[in-house]
Amino acid sequence: MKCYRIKGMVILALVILLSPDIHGQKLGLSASFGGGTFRMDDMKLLLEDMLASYPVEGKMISTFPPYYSGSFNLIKAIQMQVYAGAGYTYTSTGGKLNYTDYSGSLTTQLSAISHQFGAFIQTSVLNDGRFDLSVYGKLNANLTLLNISSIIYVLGYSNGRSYNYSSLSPGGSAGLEFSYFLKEISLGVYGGYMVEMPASLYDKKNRSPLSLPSDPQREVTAEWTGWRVGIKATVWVIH
Amino acid sequence: MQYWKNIVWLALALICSCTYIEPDTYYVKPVAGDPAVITLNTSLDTIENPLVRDSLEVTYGISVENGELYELNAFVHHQVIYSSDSTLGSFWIYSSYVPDPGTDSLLLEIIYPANTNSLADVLGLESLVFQRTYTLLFE
Repeated sequence: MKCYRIKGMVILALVILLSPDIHGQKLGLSASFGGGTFRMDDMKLLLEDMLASYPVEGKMISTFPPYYSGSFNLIKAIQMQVYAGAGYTYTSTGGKLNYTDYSGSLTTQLSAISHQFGAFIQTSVLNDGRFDLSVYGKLNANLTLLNISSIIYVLGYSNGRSYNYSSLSPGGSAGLEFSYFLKEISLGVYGGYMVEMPASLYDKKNRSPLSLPSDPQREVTAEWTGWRVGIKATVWVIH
Repeated sequence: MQYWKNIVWLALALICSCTYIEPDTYYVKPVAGDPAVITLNTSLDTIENPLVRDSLEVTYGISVENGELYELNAFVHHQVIYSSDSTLGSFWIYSSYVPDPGTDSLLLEIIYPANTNSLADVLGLESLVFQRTYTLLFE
C-alpha cells in the first residue's frame, strides 16, 4: 500500500515537471543547506536498551541531535506565482554510546541516513518582484538507512559487529519561504515542519524487523518528524 | 549556464558534509575495588624437602577473598604440568619431569582478578599473579 502511494507521488511529480510548458515560464534548479530536529523516540529507547546491556557504566554521548541536511530540486512555474517541483533531500543524524578507560573502550554507534525523494508545490502570498514570501507543501518518500555498529577494544585486541537496516515510509512537510530574486538566481531562507509516518526497520540481509532487546514484540521505527530550517539558492535556467 | 555546474558541485559538497559523525568519547577513571587476597594451602606445606621417587601427589586448596580464581598453573622445570580453574584439587609430579635427578622446583602460579573495575577487569581480562615455589628432591 505504501509502495503504491510512493509510486503515485513520483508519477505526479514527473507529470508536473514534464508537462508542456503552457505558461512558458521559469524553470530552475535549487540547492539548499539547512538543519532539522528529529523525533526518533524508538531509536532513543533502543539506545537506552543497549546501554543497559553494557558490562560497565557507559554513557549516551548523543541521542539523535539536530543535524545538517542538504537538498537539490528542480522547480518550475506552473502558474503566475505558483511553482511545483521535485527533488532529493539528504539528512543524517545518529546516536552513540561509549565507555573508555585506560584498558580499552566500548562503543555503539547508530548512524541514520534519510534519502527523501519528493514533490512540492509552492505559492506566493506576498510578492513585490524582488522579494517573495511563499508557502510550500511537500510530499515525499523517505528511504531510511540505519547502521548499527559496536566495537570493543581491550588491551590491544578488538572485536566488532555491524548491522544494516532500512525502511521506506511516506511523509509530508509544510512551511514558509522568504526569497530575494535577482535576474538569474534567487536566494532564500525557509522554515517548516515535517511529519513522517514511522515505518519498521528491517535487516537488509534477512529482512527480520529490528526490535527492542527489552521488548522483542516492539518493532523499532525511524521517525524523522521535526522542524526544518535552511538557506536556499535557485538558479533560473529559463527566466 | 556555468551556474549549473557550480550548483551541482555545491549540492554534492553540501550533501557530503551532512553525514552525522560524533567524535566524542566518555572517558572514565575506574575506581578500584578492594584487592583480592589469596590464600594457598598445599600438601607440601608441612613436608620438608619433599622427595619425588617415582611420583608424588600434591593436593591444594585456594581461597580468593574479594574475587574468584581465574586459573592455577603448576610448573616443573619450566614446563606446565597442571592447569585448573578449581579452588580444590590435586595433581601428580613424576620423576620423569626432570632430565636428571637432584633438586628442582615446583612453581604454583595463581591468576586472579585485579579488581581495578576497568573494562578489561570486568571482562576478566585484567589479572594479577600470585606465585609460590616449593623445592623438590627428584631421585
